[in-house]
Amino acid sequence: MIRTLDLAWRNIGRNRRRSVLSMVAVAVATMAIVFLFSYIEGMKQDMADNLIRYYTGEVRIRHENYGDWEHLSPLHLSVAELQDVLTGVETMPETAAAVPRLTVPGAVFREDQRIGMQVTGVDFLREIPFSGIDERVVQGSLNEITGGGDSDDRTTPALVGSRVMERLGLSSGDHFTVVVRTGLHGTNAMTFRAAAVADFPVASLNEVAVWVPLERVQHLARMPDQAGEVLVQLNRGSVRELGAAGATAEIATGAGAVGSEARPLEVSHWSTINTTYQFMEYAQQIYNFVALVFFLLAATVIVNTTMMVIFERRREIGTLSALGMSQGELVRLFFTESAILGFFGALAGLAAGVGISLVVGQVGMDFSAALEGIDMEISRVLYPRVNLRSSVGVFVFSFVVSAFTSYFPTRRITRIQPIEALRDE
Amino acid sequence: MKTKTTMRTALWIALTAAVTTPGWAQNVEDIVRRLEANRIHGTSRAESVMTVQDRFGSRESTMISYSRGQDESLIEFTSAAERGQKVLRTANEIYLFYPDAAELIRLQGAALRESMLGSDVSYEDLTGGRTLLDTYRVTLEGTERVNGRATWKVSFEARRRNVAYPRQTMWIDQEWYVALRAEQYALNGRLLKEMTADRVEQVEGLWIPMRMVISDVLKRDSSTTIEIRNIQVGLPLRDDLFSLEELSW
Repeated sequence: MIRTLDLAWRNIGRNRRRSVLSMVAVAVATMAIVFLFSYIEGMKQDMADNLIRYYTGEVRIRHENYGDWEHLSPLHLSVAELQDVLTGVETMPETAAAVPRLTVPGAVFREDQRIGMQVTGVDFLREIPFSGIDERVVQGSLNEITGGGDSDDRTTPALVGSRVMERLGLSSGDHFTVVVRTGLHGTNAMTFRAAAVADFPVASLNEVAVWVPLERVQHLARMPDQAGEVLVQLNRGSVRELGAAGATAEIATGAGAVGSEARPLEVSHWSTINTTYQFMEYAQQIYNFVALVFFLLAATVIVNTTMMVIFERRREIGTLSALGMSQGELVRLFFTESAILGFFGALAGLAAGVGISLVVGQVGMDFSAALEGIDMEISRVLYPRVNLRSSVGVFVFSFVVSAFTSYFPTRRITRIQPIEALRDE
Repeated sequence: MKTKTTMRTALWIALTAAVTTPGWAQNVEDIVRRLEANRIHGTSRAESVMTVQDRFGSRESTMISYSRGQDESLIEFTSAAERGQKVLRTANEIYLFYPDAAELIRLQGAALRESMLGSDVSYEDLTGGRTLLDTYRVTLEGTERVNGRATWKVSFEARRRNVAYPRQTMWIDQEWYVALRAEQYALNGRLLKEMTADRVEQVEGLWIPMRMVISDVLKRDSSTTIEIRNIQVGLPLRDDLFSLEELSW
């Protein structure tokens, strides 16, 4: 075994260019896959974070029939008796935080244009720890908004997405009037003042979001003590103890959605809600397949170089056979060579892939232009995240594939008679 | 200047008073002139109920509407959900007033296609402007009976492209000169809206559709009924009633 390893090392060193080519092929494939998986991991983490902060929470409570008519934004299918529901949810030990939100579709009319908006009523004091909205403020301050209520000039202070400001041509402190549909199927309008500007990470949100104190939107939409949804963050300990489904069931009990006189509410854990994230989970299988294709392409390079090795070294092989090296020993020799090349190639690729992922993970990849107008819960700037398990998996897979690709051409050489090999020109 | 539509004609007939010009139609242009004459009047005040029926149920909005001449009208909603909201139509423009908003909203262009209070009536249907004969070439298609009454079936084809409804068909009562039924079509021939007037009453010598059902065919399972409960015509109205200052008062 030691003799085989020595011989393999010596053979690798004898033709460095060929060896480097093989290693580079494995390294490039490994690097690409490690980076791809880091990118996907970053995208999934980002999407999960955005979903939980801005769309679904960890548990979402809404009217049980809302989903059937979601495309029509049925405001009347709301969470009624909001204060009771909130109190019930917040008293559950499974609840870490809960926020009510009431989003009404609306429009600003400018010249002959209708500019779509989304006015969301929120409880800012609850939102700050829940969604970290204060960290997204890039202009102005939430203080004026959390101060609440109408100001002297009959405008309502609002937190506005930075793209909303651009679309409406607003400066900080400017006002604009949004016409919305109400929960009574009518229309109403309210004038808002851009007291603070937020840079929401999700492009589609940043283009339409106008966040206003909940009670103002309840008044605007004629929906007192109602919200469109209540989002809940779960207590970590409860999730560990009960599991996500168990904790969600407890929240349903707290919301009064269980029992003979249950409120007509649907209580769902975010992982069960049909979102783009679920699509990402399916897409992961496709990416795994893409990774396999990458490896197979790299393997063809290794097979090719191994074949070249065989043809270039026929006389050597013949000599080794004539000197008494068995077929099995020859196979082991070439296999060991491939394994060494595969190991170091995969290691180099892993290091490069992780390195690039870490660097890009700090700098970020800006997809603002590409995501403009696209309704996905994904941030405009993505940060790849190295996943240790998948990275090690890619390394092992890369090493194994590259090592075993030498098997078939190596077997072929064992069939060459020493005399034929020695005669070879 | 916005082109006038049949919906507007019918709607404003329902929402406001009209003056009937006596006489007998000689040809299709005369029929349409008589139809138009039925709604041209000095002043009116009407109290109406608008019932919107859709897949989620029905809801009522009450309103008081005022009109003066062909181009000026004002609707003020009185039902609790919309109390104080107003729609002002002047010769060329439509303005919306909302008590919760600090500024008036002027609607123009594509914004006029917005639905009024979620009903089957769009603001475009309220816009004023040219007469039907200025806007459309008219053809008498024949006579038909609608709700047991003899009508002329008249088709309207727009003379220009910037018209809300490029094609329309109206069934005009041969005695009252009121459209008992109307259909509005897109340029490609697709039916957009239907209107029927199922109750017509004579007020102060005018034949006025007191109950109309309007249906936006593109909105599934939706219809809007406008019923006049009380109407006065020829009453004195303040000069500034149709001004922007008055609107936001």
